[in-house]
Amino acid sequence: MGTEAARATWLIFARTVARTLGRPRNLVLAFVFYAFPPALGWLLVTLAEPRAQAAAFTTFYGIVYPTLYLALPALLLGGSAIAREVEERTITYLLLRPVPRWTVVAGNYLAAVLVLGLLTTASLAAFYAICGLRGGPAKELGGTEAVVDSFEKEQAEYRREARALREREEALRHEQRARGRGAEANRPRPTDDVDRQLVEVRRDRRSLRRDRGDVGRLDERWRAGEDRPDRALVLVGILWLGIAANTALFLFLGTAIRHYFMAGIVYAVLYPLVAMPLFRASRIKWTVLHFHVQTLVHNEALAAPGRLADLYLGEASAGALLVLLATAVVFLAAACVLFPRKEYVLDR
Amino acid sequence: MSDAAVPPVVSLEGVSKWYGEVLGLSDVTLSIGPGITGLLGVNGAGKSTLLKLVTGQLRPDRGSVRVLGEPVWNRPALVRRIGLCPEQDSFYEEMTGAAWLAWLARLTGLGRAAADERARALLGEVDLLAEGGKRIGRYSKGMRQRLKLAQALLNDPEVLFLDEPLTGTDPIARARIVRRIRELVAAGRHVVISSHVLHEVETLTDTIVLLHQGRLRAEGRVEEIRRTLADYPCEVRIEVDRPRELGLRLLALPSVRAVLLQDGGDALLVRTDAQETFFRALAEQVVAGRFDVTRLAPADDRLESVFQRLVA
Repeated sequence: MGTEAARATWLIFARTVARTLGRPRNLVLAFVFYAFPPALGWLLVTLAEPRAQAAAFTTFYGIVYPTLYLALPALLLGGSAIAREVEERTITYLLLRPVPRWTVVAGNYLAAVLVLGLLTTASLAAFYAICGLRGGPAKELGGTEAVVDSFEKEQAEYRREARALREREEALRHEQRARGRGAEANRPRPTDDVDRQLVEVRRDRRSLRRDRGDVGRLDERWRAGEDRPDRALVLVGILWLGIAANTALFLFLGTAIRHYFMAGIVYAVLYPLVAMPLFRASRIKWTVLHFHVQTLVHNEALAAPGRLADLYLGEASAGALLVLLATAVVFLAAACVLFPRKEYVLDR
Repeated sequence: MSDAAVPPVVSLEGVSKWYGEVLGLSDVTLSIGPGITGLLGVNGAGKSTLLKLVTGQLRPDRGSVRVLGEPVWNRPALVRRIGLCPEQDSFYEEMTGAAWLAWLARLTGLGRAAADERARALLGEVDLLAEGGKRIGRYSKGMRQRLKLAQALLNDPEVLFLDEPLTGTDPIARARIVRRIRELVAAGRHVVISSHVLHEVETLTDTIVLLHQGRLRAEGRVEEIRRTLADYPCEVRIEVDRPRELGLRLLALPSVRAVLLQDGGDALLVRTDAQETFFRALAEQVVAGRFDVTRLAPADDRLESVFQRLVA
């Protein structure tokens, strides 16, 4: 049974890959879509000022890329894997073969991950080659250096603010103690605003740590991440697992509900926009949600090409990979369990 | 309808199926025996729903469905024993007919070489061998129907379900498909064929299941069903020694709607609104007039008239 299932999965996988890549229309669309990031990279490196490059890269690879190049293709290919067979009514021929029905899900899923992984990797590899990040014509991307500069400035500013607040708190506490001694000598003690100021300063320090605490620890992770030989491998690993997790999620949606596309669009587009301002990384750093936001939807490792990636890979890679792997496995398993229990030929 | 000693090929017990709020089948209980059975009904009668239920594509909301004695929903092992030629005209259009069949054959467990061989054999069986290398997207309607029939035969199934297999086919393709169905039955296979075109089924079998608006209206042999119907309109042909005289007598009967002379005045065609009443009155008239009736037969003992009666 196991061998038969594996064989059926392989046959459906191979057929789906051939169908997807064998249609000229699909190839043209994929080329246009995936050629855009390297083209944009080339334009920016060639034409833009370093600071403009930095802003463009941060925006594109931080916000646009994860949504447009990870979530949306996964929704289109993963979410529609089963729905396409149903809509084209070819599902009938698959359901009438003496193989476990979950193999239909598994075969389509693996095909979608392979196609998306290859296209995305090729697109990013072209981007890296063009921008010189991995041995291309330019030795270093000015934009990345500008981003790094801005991080360093932000780090210095954070430290300045933190030190100022700490000194202010110490001064207020000193004053409070001094007034306390004075109050013991001259009871009743008049109420002054030192206590209130102290409360405010402490609140400001907590806010600073909560909102920008990560910045204060950048340099340690930076040092830890420097000269990492497996940086590209980890990036590609995160990329493929991100695709696998996204595809599994949308495949499950496509298997579970008829209006999967709308739900997927809402998730892919609105979730990062809503979640990112609400959940700053430092607040949910130690939660799964943090890794989910960071790697599944808003993949900051991918958002930060070059040395900047090390800032995140140093600490986040193990947890991120684990979360991505678990997400992929859980949603794929859920789809495989659900599919044989549902009816997909619902027209009279 | 099947012989009590022979286990039914297909049995449904109190089966109902809804599509949301639309009723597909309502409390259908029936059994289909060996050989060919025609599944009749107008569009939307529930034929395709029934075929999807008996091939395990749909799960009944109520009741049970068994094929070859086993429940059919989500049973890959049983699927190996049945074949379906679906109504819908959907394929992987970019594949060739031979490649598609071979791929499906491999999904049934055959190795690559055996699957290719099986595909070629089936293409030959449905007279498509010469077109096997063409993309399915370029096939004519008749070729597509025959290709669907070929895929239904991949498992060498014991029971074959054919959903409107002759729809859209030209006379040559139709004759080929009908011939192939007859060969399968002769080889001991059971065939359930659905159609809303009665004469298609009539040429293959006189055993029918008739559905209308999701309900079972009749099952059994056409003539048996007809006998179970009491008074209903029909035509009777009478060959008698004095046809004009008998015709005049019959015209006076309230159950007779029309009398026509046929064969140059040698026979009568009588149209009646009440069959049983008419035959009683006819017997009385024949005895009273001492007529010599040489032949008496229903002129429209066809599926069409039974169908019209049952769905009216």
